[in-house]
Parts: sequence; C-alpha cells; structure tokens
Amino acid sequence: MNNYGWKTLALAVLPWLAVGASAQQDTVPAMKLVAAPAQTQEPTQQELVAKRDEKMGLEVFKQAPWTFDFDQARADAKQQGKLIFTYFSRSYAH
Amino acid sequence: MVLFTHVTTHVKTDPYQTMLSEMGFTGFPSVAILDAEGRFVEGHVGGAKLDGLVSMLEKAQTYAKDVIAKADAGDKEAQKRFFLDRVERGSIRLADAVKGLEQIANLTKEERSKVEAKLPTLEMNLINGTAWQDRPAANAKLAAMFKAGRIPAGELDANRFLSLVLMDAEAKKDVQLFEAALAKIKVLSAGNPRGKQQIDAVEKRLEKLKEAAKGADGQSGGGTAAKRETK
Repeated sequence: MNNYGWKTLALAVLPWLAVGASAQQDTVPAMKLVAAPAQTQEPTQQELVAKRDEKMGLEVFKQAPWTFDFDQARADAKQQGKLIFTYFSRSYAH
Repeated sequence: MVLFTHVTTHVKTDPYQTMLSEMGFTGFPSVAILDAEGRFVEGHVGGAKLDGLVSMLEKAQTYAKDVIAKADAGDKEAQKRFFLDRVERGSIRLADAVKGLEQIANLTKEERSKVEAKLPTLEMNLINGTAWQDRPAANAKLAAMFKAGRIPAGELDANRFLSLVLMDAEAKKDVQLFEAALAKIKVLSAGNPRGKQQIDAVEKRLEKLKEAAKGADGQSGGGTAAKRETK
C-alpha cells in the first residue's frame, strides 16, 4: 500500500482513537499502593450483554468494514494477504 | 488491511476476552497491527495522531515483509527475531513464549535468559486477563507466584504485580506476605523520588493489617494466616 493508502486508512480509523486522549487503565494501575480499591457493585451478565450490543451497534462502526469477529478477521487477512488493524475497545465501562 | 475491533465485554461466553492483556496492553484505547495469524506486529496505546498512525502502519508493513514473511518461509534468524521482539514487548501468549523457548534452537544463552525473565510478566498478564471474573482468586494466583519467586521484571510490571499481592495479603490478613511484598517494593522504589510517600502509605496499611490480624487472633485463638505461614 502506498503512502496515500495508509493515510486514507488512518483517516478512516482516527475517529475511534480519541486523538490526544490518554489511555484508560483496564486492570490495576502500576502504583496503586495507597489503598486497596473500594468494592463496587458488579454489573450482571445481562447488563454486560446489553452494553456490548450497544457498543457494537454504534454508527461509527458502520462507516467502514469493521468486523468484531477475530476468526473472521484472520480468515480475511489470510485470504487477502493483508495485515489486521486491531482497535481495542471496551463495553463494560465508559 | 482488515479492520477488526476487539471489544473487552466481560461477558463470560464471549471469545478472546484475554486478548488485550495477551498483547501486552493494559489500557484503552489501544491499537495493534497483527499478522494474518493474529500475531502482534506493531502497537500503540493511548490517543493517536494521523502522522503517528501512518508511521506505525508503514513500520508494520516493512516488518511484515522483512521479518515475518522470512520467518514463515523457514528463515531461522527471522524466526528468532520475530519471537524475541514479541517477548520483549510482552505481546505474546505465555504458552507461545514457552513453546518458542523449546523450539527455537538458535537462541543464545543470554537471549534465553531474557525470555525466561519475561515469563512472570506474561503469566501475570494471563492471570489479569481473566481477573474480572474473580479478582480475589486472581490475586491469590499472583501471591502464589510471588511466594514461588516468579516476580515480573521491570519497575512498572513489578509494581502492578506487587500491588495485587498486597491486596491478597490484606484479604487473608497475611502479615508475613504483606511484609515480604513491601520489602520488595522498597527495593524497587529506591531510586524513585515519589517512593517514600508511597512506602509510607503502604506501611500504614501494614499497621492496620497487623491490628486486624491481632483482632482475628483474639477471636480465633491464634489461627491467622500470618501465623500459619510461619509454622
């Protein structure tokens, strides 16, 4: 892919990347040594499924041929001789 | 380029829920370029700007051509480089790292040692990848790693690990484990200007834990985790 192609792809995916934003921790931060984290109410599996479906249904994911299926992504990449651009997101929290 | 969004959902039946941590990431958003086998090629955590993203994509394309294609064609040096690069980045599954140690014959003694030193980090990543299902059970596994001497190398990984070992010690009122983890934190924080403040905070937690353990002793006739450990 030439430089124009990369830029086109980069522009297509940038809306998902919250330009300039800092990353949110998924697990426990590196030096959270001051106090143990407070216990919070865990969402139910039903609530997590609803949050997942809401996330995957967002309009932004319909503006480019995104897949949420890793097996499908690998099969497509093999068939087309391409790499996989992977965007990691989460639905269990905002 | 195939576009794939991986969503960490915490839905128990969803596949590949440990993928983020197995790629060596701990936060969102993160971006990775994978090859067609799903192996890590390049990555970035946090927000991205256009130039940075283009540069990452170009770097990945070059690496795929110069290293991965050769590795897959049987080039031993390329196989070694691809393996070591993923290990160094922490972007390889524990099982694949162990398999690589067994199968890649041309690793030097030094390279082999570096890979072995990274295994505790990969083990921690694997445990943390499913920790949301049962955090106390995950912390107990990390505490077992600590007791067995399998401590992640590198200040960031070690501190993340030790903070969870402290939580396990508190949950079990295990003063001895807490003190051992604190001693390790003190060694790690020696050159850190913020270290003293952090250690003071942990020492306060230790005092509270000792009080709680004493209380438990009084109630149960001396059967705290700390005492059992020392027997």
